Amino acid sequence: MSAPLLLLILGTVLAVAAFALRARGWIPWLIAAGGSLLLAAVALGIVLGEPFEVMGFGIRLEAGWTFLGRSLVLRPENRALVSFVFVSGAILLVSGWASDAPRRLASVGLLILLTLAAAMMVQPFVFSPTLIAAAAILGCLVVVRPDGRAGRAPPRLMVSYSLGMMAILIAGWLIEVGGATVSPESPARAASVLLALGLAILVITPPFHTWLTASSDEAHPLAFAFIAVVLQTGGLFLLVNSLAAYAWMRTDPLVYAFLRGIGLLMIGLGGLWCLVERRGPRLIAYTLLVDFGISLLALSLAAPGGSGIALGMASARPLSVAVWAAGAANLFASEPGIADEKRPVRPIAAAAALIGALSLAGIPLTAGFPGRWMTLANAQGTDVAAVAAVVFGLGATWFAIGRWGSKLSAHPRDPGRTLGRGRTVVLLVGSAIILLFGLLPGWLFSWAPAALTGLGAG
Amino acid sequence: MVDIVVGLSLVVPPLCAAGLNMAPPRRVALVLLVGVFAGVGANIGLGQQLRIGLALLATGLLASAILAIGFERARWPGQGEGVGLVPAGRAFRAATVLLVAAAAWGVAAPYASGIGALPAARVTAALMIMAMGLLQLGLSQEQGAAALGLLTALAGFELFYAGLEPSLALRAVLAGIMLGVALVSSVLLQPSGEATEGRRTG
Repeated sequence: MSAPLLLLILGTVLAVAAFALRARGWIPWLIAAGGSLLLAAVALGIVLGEPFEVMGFGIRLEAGWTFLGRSLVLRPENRALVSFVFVSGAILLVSGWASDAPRRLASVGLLILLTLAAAMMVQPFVFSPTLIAAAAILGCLVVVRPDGRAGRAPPRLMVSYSLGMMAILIAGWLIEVGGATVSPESPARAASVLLALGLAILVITPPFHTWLTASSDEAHPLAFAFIAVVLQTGGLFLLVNSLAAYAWMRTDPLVYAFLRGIGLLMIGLGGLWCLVERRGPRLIAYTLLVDFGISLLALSLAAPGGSGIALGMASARPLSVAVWAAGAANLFASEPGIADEKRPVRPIAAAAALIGALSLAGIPLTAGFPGRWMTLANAQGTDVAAVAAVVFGLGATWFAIGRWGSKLSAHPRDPGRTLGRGRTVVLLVGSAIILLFGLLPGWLFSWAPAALTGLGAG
Repeated sequence: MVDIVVGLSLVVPPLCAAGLNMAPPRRVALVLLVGVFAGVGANIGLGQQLRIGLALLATGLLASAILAIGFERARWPGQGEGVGLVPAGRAFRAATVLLVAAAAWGVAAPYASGIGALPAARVTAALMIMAMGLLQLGLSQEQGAAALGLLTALAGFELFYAGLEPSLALRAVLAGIMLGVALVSSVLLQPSGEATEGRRTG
């Protein structure tokens, strides 16, 4: 048997179980989050190519699984990335129960994680965008309105990623078969433009972010956060893997100029939109854009550890948005009906939502801050525009989230302690972990160098 | 005879794709979608590999059947029911179809003979189908119309890309993407009532 096939079978069984038990309260979330952690452990720790025993049975797992002439391979160099996909999904899914997320998120979320893991393992690499697009199409099932109807988000998400996939496939053909490289010289210009377009869609660059804002308006906070974070992580890993795989890409200044350009664009526009936006979920969507932009900027600086900073930021992000989503979903103690500003808020949920949002915005002493600080340190003295953009992004998101927190503080407080003990514990533990990682950021960033050494990037 | 069918297969799919932009009733739209896939499948099957063409035809039929189930469950909503339809009469749609077709032709003509070993007519037809699919995506963001437009664009992409990269595995993955689009859209067309009522956020 092969390890990738084992992961696929195990994950599918867990997803089916989570779907079958979807009406059983916390059980589907336990299956989804626990299953994701199990898959992460299998991907990271399983012995490959040598026989070992499980409960008396001798097993030997091969690293590759071939299907229709193409392979899924769990190589030493991609094990950390595959495992990271499952861990980040587990962090998000664990708050599903606490946030009353749509029940299908547990099973569909697991399938999305499996598809993204397959995108990390597939050989040759040209298949990765198709699997990321497949994950996005599955994601359409969860970014729906509370009544289950499709709004604007699913069609936009489906269309964006399908178009991105088409662009990258054509660019891949032009580069691999046509012998083109990314260059401003004709005829390679077509490959450059298509590759840039596809990657811009996959890392959610404006104007291809409209599905993100639509889903923040329509979908449950956790569903929106889950899809945004895991799909952007898939796009980022595709980028990092491509940089590691293709020497011409790694050494071409145009590639870094492109990454720098879209990073600056995301920070600039995201920051401006944060300044004019008052609605909580939309504010988080724009803060996510700034966060994505800073990680791309870190990658583009091509300084030592740039990729490591981007990956470290990707590991802080799921934690921040999971805590925000759990807090935001439990924010109000009454259903809509009375004037919004008169709805009583639950203090612990509000505090958790604020801590999650502030961590996403990179306030000091939270998990989101170290990545920004390291990006600033890398850019200082060499790239004034990057420093200015990061400072602007930080200022805009801090101000906007502070204003949102101030608005929340004007609401009456819920006197009835209606949150429940279990949810209170989840929110408090999540918030405490954010603060702990703010104090001990090395834990968040320590896995990245090993993963990048395996990939040959850095 | 084969030449005539291959020739027709380059003309019929763009016409069917253009017809999809005229907001026809859903049943007619599904027939037009089958027409797009049948033409594309016939062209690839007769001009390249029969099994790839047949598989693409089967994918189109299956995707149309899945969408038909979704439309049936939603009681065959007409185009215009749902969110965000750009208000446009048939005359306006006809004008945009002609303009976009002319633009696609203009874009395709200079490059059509220089892409791999693909015949220029096939490249032009593929770009026309993709352009018509994209136009439909631009004219409506209702889920059913988006699925029809995206499947049209993907069929056009296959007509082009199958000639460049004839890998069976890639064909299987792309067929999976098309069926996934149809299946997910079919599920979303009908409110499931399963999604829990999320508490509104501040």
